Amino acid sequence: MNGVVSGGWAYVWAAYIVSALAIFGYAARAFVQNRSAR
Amino acid sequence: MSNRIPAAFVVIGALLLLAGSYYGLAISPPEEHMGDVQRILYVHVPTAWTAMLVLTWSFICAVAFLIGGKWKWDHRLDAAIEMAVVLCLLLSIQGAIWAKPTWGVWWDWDPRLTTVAVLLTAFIGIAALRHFVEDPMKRATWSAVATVIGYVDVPIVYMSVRWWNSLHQKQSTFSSVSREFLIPWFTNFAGLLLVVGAVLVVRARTASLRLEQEIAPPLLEEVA
Repeated sequence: MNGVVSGGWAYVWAAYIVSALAIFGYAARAFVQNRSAR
Repeated sequence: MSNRIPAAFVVIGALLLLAGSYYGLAISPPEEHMGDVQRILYVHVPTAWTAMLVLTWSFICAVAFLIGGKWKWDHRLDAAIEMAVVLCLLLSIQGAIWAKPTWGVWWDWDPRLTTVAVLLTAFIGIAALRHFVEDPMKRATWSAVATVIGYVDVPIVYMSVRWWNSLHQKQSTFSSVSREFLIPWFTNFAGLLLVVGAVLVVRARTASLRLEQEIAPPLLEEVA
């Protein structure tokens, strides 16, 4: 057991996956929108 | 205008985020009390810092537009408002995912969480305002004024953990955090700053192009 809160890797992965999707999803959208606006 | 330089910044930022996340997930030890769940803070804290910077940038853009009236500040404001919504929403989701195993609940009407929710709601409202107002000058002026008013909540968010009895922990200091924790924090912060900075540039360019199309006179063929 690590620390008082045991386990929790599912929460860790969920946070990292949501973060990656939000940041890079929004970044990709910004570049695509810029291309289509030209 | 080419987007090659912003794209290069996104790639470098992504590599830094990959390195910082690898360090945070595989090398940093679990924290004494929170265990492995603490690793969420390696993305949550950089997101919070970046969100605060983007919100401050939106305030600067709003004030610059209101004083100088130059459209470039409205384009930058447009980009900053949207990015602030994305980051504040992400911040709240990351916080909820961390809160469930540590506090036992996804959400609590804690001063920090509540003031961030107010901030998120305010900026969603400003983004909606920009979407619905058709006159470019009214849109720019109203959203700049609304941004200045909305920004009042930012120092309240920062100070909320000191002013009120909050479940959320107070800001850490360099002396209270070990090196193994600081490395992924700052690596991810640098990576996120590069990605967000590049996206802000591209998004502001898009806003400029859209305004040009919006106010451009119709072509003769279209009139005929």
